[in-house]
Amino acid sequence: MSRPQAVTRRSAKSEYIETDTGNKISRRARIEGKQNIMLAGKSVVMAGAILRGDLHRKIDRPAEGEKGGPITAINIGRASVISTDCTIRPPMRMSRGLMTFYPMRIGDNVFIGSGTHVSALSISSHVHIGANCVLSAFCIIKESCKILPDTVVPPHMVIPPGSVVGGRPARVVGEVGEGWGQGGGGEGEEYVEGGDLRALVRSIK
Amino acid sequence: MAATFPYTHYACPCSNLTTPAPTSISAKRASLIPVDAPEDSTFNPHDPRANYSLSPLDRLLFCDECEEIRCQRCYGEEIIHCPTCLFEVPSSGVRSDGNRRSSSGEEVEETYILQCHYCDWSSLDIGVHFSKPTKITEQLAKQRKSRVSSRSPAAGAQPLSHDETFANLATFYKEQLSESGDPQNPYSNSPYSSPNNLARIMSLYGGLSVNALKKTREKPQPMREARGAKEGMLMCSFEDKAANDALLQSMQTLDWANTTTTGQRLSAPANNDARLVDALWPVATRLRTRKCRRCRFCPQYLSYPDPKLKVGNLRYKIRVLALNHIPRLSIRSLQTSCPLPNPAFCLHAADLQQRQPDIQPHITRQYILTIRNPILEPIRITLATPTTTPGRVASRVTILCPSFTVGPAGDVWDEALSSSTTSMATIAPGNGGRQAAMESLTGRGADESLDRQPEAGKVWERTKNSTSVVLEIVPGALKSLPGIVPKSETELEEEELEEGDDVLEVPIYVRAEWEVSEEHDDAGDRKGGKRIVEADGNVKKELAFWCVLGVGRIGEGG
Repeated sequence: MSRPQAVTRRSAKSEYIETDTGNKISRRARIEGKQNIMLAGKSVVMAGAILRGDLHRKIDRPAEGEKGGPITAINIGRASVISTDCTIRPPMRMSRGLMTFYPMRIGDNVFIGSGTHVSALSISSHVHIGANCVLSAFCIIKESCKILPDTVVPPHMVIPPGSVVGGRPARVVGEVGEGWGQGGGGEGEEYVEGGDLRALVRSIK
Repeated sequence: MAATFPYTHYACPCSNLTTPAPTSISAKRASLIPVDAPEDSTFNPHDPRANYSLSPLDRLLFCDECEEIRCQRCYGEEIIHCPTCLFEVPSSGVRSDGNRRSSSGEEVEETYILQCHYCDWSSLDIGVHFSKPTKITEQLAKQRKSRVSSRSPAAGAQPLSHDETFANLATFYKEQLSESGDPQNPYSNSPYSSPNNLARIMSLYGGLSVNALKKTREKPQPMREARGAKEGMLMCSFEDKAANDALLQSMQTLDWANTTTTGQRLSAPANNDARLVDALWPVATRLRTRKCRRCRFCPQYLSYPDPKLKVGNLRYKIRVLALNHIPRLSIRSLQTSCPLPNPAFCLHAADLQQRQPDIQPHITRQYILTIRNPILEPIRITLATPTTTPGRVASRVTILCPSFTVGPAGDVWDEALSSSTTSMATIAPGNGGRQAAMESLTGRGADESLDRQPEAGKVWERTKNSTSVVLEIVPGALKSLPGIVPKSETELEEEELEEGDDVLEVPIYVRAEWEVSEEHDDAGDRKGGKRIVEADGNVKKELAFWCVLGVGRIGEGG
């Protein structure tokens, strides 16, 4: 007697895996070293995004009594959105003949546009990064910045808070308005650049 | 003009275009004929001066003393504190690099260089290296001085360096100012307030005659300019032919990229004469400052960043944003059922290529204009717009419901609690019972939104703190129809489209009125006693401004 076929519970697999903390990770995202990547909550990693968590600092053998804690290669904050086809790779440097990687920290409410290459050392909160940008190794982006599309930020550049940056090489071309990041909430404009991106995260399906 | 449609720009009342100058002032300045500021002037967004008074909402602050919008020109800036240097790296893209050790490992001679990671320039190209990684500006200045001084005795009589020239010129001008003098100066100490007085008194009591006085008084020399290198004049001479020839020669052999731009030459006085890129000297990056903004008219702080915290955290002690005080407008087409995705948040690469379709002329289109109210009282809004848009291309605009009320904004908790119920509230009451229940489950019923027709005098949609009305717009044509009589030259010239003429922008005058109970009226208290208190203890408040809605681009055709 044949068993009746199991009824499929879902007709199609959804695009995003949703975790308990509300992160949405696309099934088509290419993630290496997922145990070294921390997503704080309600963040989105879209299709085609490459996250290299396998490139991390090699810990030396811990001595007696020292704990060898988990190494996070990439730390992403709350409500951040990594759009399609981005590459997030921790910055690396050759020192004393060894290639060492440094942990990368991305803040809250950061929007990274599609196709950008991110090797920055740290990106602070409320930053809006346009599409097709290149943030080279060890650059530091401070709060509330706006990076225009197609910008190339050279290595080791520090972008001061509240600046609008564009060009190749990136130059500070202006300052963000006073109301940067405010104005979300209510109908119509649910999210603005630099503002709370939770509504955007909710709308990504 | 924003690159993406639709947009809303708000006009600050500071310019003549939005607020005609008060008549008393214009009467005094008889020479100042107000050309385009009659009593009820319409704001023309295509006016070349209009750009200077329009700003998007995130650039506007609000002065709650004057109860007016303040744009970037109206808030004077004061620098709270400087420097706020980014202590990690003092200059962008260039950093100290490099320890060079001798291979034997015995002697460690550490030298440092500047290196750009983008274009691979390094200070070795100009032969500069540093002994320690700190105080780079000092080391640079020292090396520059030694380089300049070593160059000058080699070449003979050389013009003075820039710094010396500047110092000479500054002392020269100071001397000139004191010599040519203030007329007040000789008499500030004496009890006689003017030379005429002094002369009169002197002649009364005898003493030197007026003529003698005039002669002995030194004639103030008119202020003159510098006349020589000692006084600070820098002469360019064509005599130094050899150097000029060498320069021209190198300009011919090297390419355009090797000559300096004006921006590069102006970056530092040391670079003012550099014509070729290899003569440029590194310049330290400027330090950044944190600015606090004050209203220009009343000295009220509008934005005051906290100076105590480190640079990293942008916190404000006071920040009064326009978007929390003025009704906010936004426009979208009636045909699209949901708001268009914000183009700044392009999630997929394919979306980037999409260009918004042009609007066809002569076809009536309907738009929904949404007004959002950020303040805690319900407001009454009156809208006004000219029948045809000003500018080269005239489109007809009709507001179907120009006068309506918008509810108050609640607290954050109210919004959160009611967000689940807003979907029910926005649906027009159905037949009740089952249909309404079904609609609330499935969202807005599809049939209903198609059947609704915009009616004159009725609002389209009303939610807790926003109201939407319908605008009908008939875009005008870019080119006028060919007529029977051939046009003259001037007419043809006038008809040429300039850049930005094909953008459909609708100017709207928004007037908001609301009432505040007397005890909550802080601004009125501060102004003191001028407000009119109604019978029931409320103070009437009013705010009016021009606003420009960018709808789209008009295409050819029709």
